[in-house]
Amino acid sequence: MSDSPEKYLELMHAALDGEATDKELATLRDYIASHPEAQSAHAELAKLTEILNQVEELETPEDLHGSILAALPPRRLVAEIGQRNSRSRFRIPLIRYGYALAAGLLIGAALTGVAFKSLSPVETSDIYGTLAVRENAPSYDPVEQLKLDSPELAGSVELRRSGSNAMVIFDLHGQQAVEVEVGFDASQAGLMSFDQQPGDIRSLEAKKGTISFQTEGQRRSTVLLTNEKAGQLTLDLRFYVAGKLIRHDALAGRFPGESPK
Amino acid sequence: MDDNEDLKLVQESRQGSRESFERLIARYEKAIFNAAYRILRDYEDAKDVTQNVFLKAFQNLEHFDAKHRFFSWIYRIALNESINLCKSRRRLDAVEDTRVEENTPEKLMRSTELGGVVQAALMSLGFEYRVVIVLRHFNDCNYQEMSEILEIPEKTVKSRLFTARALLRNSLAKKGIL
Repeated sequence: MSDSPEKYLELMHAALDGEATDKELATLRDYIASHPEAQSAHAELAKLTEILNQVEELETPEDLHGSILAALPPRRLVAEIGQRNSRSRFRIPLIRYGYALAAGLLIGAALTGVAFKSLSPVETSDIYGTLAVRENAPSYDPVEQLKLDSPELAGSVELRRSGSNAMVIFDLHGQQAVEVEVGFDASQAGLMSFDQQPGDIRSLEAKKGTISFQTEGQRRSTVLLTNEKAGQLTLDLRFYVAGKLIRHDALAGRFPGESPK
Repeated sequence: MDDNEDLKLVQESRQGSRESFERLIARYEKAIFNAAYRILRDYEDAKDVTQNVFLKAFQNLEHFDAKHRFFSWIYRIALNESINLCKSRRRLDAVEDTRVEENTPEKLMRSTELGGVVQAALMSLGFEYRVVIVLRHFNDCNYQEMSEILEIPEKTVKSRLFTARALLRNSLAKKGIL
């Protein structure tokens, strides 16, 4: 180190911050001992540090923790509830917003055997909930299929068509939890229903133009969309494992659109 | 804080565990709140920033790079949130506060009053200098951690801290503390 006072001043800061080596501390001690002006500078710096150290840490407001939790969206909660549901099939679903209730009613209709085509589309955004429907859709024709064969995720995703309805069948096999995101043009299509086999009722999150859900192990999940207008429906598919995007692909097909009522 | 434990909690949170994310909140809410308060000097703003920090962290957990420390990442979010709030209220520049001038030396030596004087002195610094003082002295970050949080080289951290202390010392001297 050069003998410039600035260098020693820098060393004083490093020493007070616990960032100086033993050798540097020894050098600094020698310098201070032989330079009265350095002693004064060092004392001032030490005093400043002492004053700052005396300032008490503030306690967090009592309601802060609760307000943080309340502000968190239910997204991960949905996943958590999905896990709980695997142990208890008939839990009351978490439903937010009136639209979710509409979705639930549609699912109820599907469970009682009403044909899909008679259902209105649930095109509205911000649906959070646990939805379930039996996979008993009649006569859906294959449109396009995507094969997945990475070590983290194997299986397939298939797009099928029946009139204005699109069925997306996810046959996935992942060692870890896989988060699936399906993006689409919200002005073109809307969520109709969702199903996951075998057995347990799982959760999904649907927003305008996006549907996401988690799956784990070997599982068949089905998403039904309805096309409100004729045209090309493109599904943007993203698969995440442990937060990392492992596959990004697309499926597409032309749909006639819903018949005017 | 234990970085490995943080990473484990982040991973569990990503896989849907709200409980794990709550543990991350419990670990860092006090530090984030204190940092935000020292930067903004407004109790309610500090609460809002803290809440937003965890909300943004929650929403962006997928983008957290495990090569970095979780606390560096959320501190970075906290600073950005504080900057945004300051910008929205045009408080990014140094604010000279004269309210504490009327304090008596006896009052000033009481810890709570001292906190007020130091806070006023801090607010007289520009944002970039205030932040390094807060990170170093109130959040106990070392140079490397500050470099990571602020995304600037360690050398810049040192020089900024050096200047910040000189400015703070002058400000406190004016207030009769040094």
